[in-house]
Amino acid sequence: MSELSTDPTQSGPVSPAEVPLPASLAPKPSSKTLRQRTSVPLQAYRFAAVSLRMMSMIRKSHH
Amino acid sequence: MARVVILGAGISGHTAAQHLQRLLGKKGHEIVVVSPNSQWNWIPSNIWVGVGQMAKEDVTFPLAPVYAKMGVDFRQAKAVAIWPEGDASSERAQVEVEFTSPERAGQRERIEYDYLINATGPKLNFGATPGLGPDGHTVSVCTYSHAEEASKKLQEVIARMKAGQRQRLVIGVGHGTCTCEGAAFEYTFNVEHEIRQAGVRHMAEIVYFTNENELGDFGVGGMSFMQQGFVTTSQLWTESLFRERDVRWILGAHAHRIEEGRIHYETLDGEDHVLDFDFAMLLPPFRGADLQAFDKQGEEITGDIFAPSGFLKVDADYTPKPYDQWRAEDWPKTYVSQKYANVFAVGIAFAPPHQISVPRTSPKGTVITPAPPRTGMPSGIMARAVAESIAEMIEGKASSPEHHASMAEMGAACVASAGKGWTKGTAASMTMFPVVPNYQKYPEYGRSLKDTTGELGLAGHWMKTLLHHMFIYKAKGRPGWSFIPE
Ligand SMILES: Cc1cc2nc3c(=O)[nH]c(=O)nc-3n(C[C@H](O)[C@H](O)[C@H](O)COP(=O)(O)OP(=O)(O)OC[C@H]3O[C@@H](n4cnc5c(N)ncnc54)[C@H](O)[C@@H]3O)c2cc1C
Repeated sequence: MSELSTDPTQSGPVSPAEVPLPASLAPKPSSKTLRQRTSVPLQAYRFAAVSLRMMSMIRKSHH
Repeated sequence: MARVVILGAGISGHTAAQHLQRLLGKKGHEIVVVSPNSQWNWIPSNIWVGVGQMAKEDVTFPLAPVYAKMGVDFRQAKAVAIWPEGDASSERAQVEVEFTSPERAGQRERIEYDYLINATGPKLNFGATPGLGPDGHTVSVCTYSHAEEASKKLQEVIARMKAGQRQRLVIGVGHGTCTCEGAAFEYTFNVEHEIRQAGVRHMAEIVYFTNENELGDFGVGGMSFMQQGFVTTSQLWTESLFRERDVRWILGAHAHRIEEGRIHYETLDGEDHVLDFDFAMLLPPFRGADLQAFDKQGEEITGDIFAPSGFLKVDADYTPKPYDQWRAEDWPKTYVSQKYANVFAVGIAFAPPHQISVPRTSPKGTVITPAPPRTGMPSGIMARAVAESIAEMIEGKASSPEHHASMAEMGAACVASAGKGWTKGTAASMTMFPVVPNYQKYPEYGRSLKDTTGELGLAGHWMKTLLHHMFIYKAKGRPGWSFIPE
């Protein structure tokens, strides 16, 4: 990256060496959840469920 | 016999052309499409072009043969001005176009119309932030050629990381009034996925740079949805993904100017900052196509028909009012011009009455609020409704537009890719109903909890891929296209 980026003698705002991870209370997924997100049989079922849900919403949107 | 002229062959203009041709084509009426680009582009998949997972040919097809087969008159040209009352030599309304096809480049022509649909989409307003865009110091994925360039630059960054240099990638929006944060979100996670696949994730600092006040706002004021018996927010849900994939975020930001490798920006608290980058994909703010309009005497009336943003004013309530007085009824239903009963605007081309997200301004007076998104599904639905209204009026079945497609009465499905791959891909599948919250109907959350949902997983990636093929099939007018919903 640019050598200027963290130069403390530079006037005006300075680009951080690293953008800090903002504070957040959002839960991180467990390894089980992550596995489920790419499990082919489970996701095949979710595909069907999400498709039905979307179709129902799409039907309501066409007047 | 009537002539309908459609300006623009994107998602909304092409949808309108297909339905008008279906409804009127065999009855001797004429459908004319004017659009400067010879190709149709499935814009949502430009994200995949931007990470090198698809080629330009996968997301485009030439329009001329499709229109020839459909019986639609296609002029490769851009509209520059409209004469809704005709001019001194003709009573008939007309639109002036300038050809962009190689054979006729620069030539001008006037096309008379009985009905006009403005579906010119967004003008990519890179000029709003000095240094923004492919002619400046950042890349974009708004067009397929921008996306190809973004992919090339991304490969260079990956090569540098492989050579041992740590790199900062900034992805987001390049102005405080941008919209389309969903696309920036998608590109962020596709880039993160590609970098991980390349084995150099530890060398990359990825920063999402946005005008949203909180993650998950997406220009629609965020969403609430039910998950495992709790009502959660799109903010919490999105933050969870950012934490999981170690993507940093900067909120409420307006880029004032961009230099080579450096963004100068202000945040909602009024503070000025700089951020250095090695790669930046920042979306531009949008404005209308900046068409001019003239009355019969040749006096300019652009300001009567178009909002200052260049978008066409339709049957919305544009009275300026504070946020707490915004109502679902402010949003247009039929998309007919306020001034001319035979002029319509659909998709991004109509002027929204106000934002959907809470409006915010920094202490210095800088507006930092996402503009309302008009995504693919609503753009298609309103185009179809307008096509049906016009067909009925031409056939004498109605005297005014009767088909409604208010964004406060329709939902949107948004499948945001978070990485491509048949077994390793993921996407966020979101639905919201309605797009514009209606607190009269849904007092607690503004939207239906049953139809507002969010889910992350491989199924979303399959869905996104299916939608890619389905919509290109539909746009090509292949058998059964009209059964595929907008
Ligand atoms: C990178 C990206 C990703 C996106 N991903 C999604 C997604 O996953 N899901 C989703 O729902 N939406 C997505 N969107 C939004 C979606 O692309 C838009 O909602 C949609 O394209 C709007 O349709 P439109 O017809 O209004 O405009 P466009 O599709 O942009 O079409 C405008 C047309 O007008 C033409 N035109 C321009 N100027 C003139 C002129 N002067 N005269 C005549 N013609 C003119 C253009 O050439 C073009 O053919 C994404 C957008 C971007 C930029």
